[in-house]
Amino acid sequence: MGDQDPEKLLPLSPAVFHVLLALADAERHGYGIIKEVESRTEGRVRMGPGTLYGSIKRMLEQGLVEESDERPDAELDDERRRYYRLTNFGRRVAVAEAERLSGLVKAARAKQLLSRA
Amino acid sequence: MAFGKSGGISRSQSAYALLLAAYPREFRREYGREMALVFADRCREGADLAALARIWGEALVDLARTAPRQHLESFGEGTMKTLRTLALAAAAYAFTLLVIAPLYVSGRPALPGFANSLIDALISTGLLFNFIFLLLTLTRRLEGTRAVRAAFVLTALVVGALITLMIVSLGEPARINLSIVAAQVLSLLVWFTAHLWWVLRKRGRAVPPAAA
Repeated sequence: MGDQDPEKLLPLSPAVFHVLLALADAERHGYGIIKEVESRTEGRVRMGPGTLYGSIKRMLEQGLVEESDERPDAELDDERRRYYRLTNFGRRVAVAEAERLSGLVKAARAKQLLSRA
Repeated sequence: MAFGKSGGISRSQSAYALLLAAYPREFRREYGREMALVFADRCREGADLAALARIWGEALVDLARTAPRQHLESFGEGTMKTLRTLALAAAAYAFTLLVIAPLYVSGRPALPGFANSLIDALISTGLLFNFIFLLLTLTRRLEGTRAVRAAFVLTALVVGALITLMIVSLGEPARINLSIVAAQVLSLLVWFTAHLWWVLRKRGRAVPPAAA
């Protein structure tokens, strides 16, 4: 998995990229991922359970995420839920996708489709 | 709450759990429980009936969009698995018929009695064991170690019935050579162990690799 080229998985679907972003700074369970995406996008992206777990299934198969054995704080923990985290390969894919999107934004700015921040 | 929030959530969760039948069995088995939990969490966010109706609307759209896709993926995976199993079985049967059988027939007179019986048994119970295992796996009645155990029991029953039939038809139990029975038992154990090893090895490979 470590030798795999991240570029081969690009472009990512929006749902997969959102899940990678949600897991970039913390391990989360399914509902935690949904809430992080919703809060980051100010409610514009509301993932349903089917979209989330369909994405997670493919991401597990591709080695982008893995189930976490470590549990968070006991008070916050819910034994019934599985927690997910990024793999090293998943992080490399997220970086590659972010760079690809950044390149597109630069192109849009150059064509004056976007104002400069 | 005016609409009896906890009862509403509980009923919604039960109804959603029923709707999960729209997904393929494997997917449901792996993620169904957590999907229902996530849906219940969503329902808890709803302050009133209008919010609950909105959550239901989103859930139904999500289900209509993702369930067909999971079926397509599952069909693709199932087809590939079936083709791989069939190719493996065809190769095993071809190897037995084209390579082992002629070698066995030409070298048979030189072999001692038990070796003859054992090769007979390995070929006959092997063909039967593999056929039953293949049938159980392809029809998805059973999988993994359960399919191996079932194939072992069914093959043992068929072999046992055939030996009993031979004893009855010959009328003289003493004429059934003990080495034939011993060879059949040994052969069954060999095929059982070989299949179990293969299934466990495959399961080991299916565990997602840990991150480097």
